[in-house]
Amino acid sequence: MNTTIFFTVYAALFIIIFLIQHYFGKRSGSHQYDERQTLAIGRSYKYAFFALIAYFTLILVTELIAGNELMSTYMLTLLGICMGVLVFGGSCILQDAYVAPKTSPRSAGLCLGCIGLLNTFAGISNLRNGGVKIVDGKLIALPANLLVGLTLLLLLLMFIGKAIMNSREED
Amino acid sequence: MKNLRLKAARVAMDLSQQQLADKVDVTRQTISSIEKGDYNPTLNLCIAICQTLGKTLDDLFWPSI
Repeated sequence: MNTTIFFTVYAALFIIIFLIQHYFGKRSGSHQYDERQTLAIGRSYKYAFFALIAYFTLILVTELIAGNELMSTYMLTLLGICMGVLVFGGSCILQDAYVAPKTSPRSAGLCLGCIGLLNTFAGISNLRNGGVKIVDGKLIALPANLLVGLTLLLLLLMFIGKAIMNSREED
Repeated sequence: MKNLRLKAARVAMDLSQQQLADKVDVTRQTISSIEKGDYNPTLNLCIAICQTLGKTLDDLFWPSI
């Protein structure tokens, strides 16, 4: 019952944050990216795709050499997805393609931070309730929320860093 | 290659990169990239910039010999 309430509150908070960001996060007009950003997003997608392929190839090679898996397939896939998101988001942020011209950067950062913190807290509480499973030295499960939360917080750090760099840039 | 003519036209109209970007619906970084020569804009964006700055395509984007 507690878990149901927790996830209902969690989902409600997520929807509220998303709606606030979507409707109040724009300066005017729509959340459309400009042409340079669209190109940068495509490039970032390509980087993430190849990073994911490289990641799974590395895992395959490691397994062939070592002979055994360090983690379960679920964990490897989850880590791969988080890494892909990190590469995609990070590349978009570095190329200034994360926030559309008419979107407020502050609200985008706030949204990223809120969702990141929400996931991290949910992951930590899950961790305390025995969310980690290690069988025969092999990591079977780790709270997905924790990984997603940490990924988003890392992206937030990059976002803040890039915003500071941009503000120092001369006009 | 840097587009100094665009920068000069923008400064002549007393516009910041952000102000020009807002007028043509792009980000400040896009205007900055065009001025630095890091990004080659589409014809639509070139026209929008020219109309905003009151210049022709030749004035701002035709390569000088």
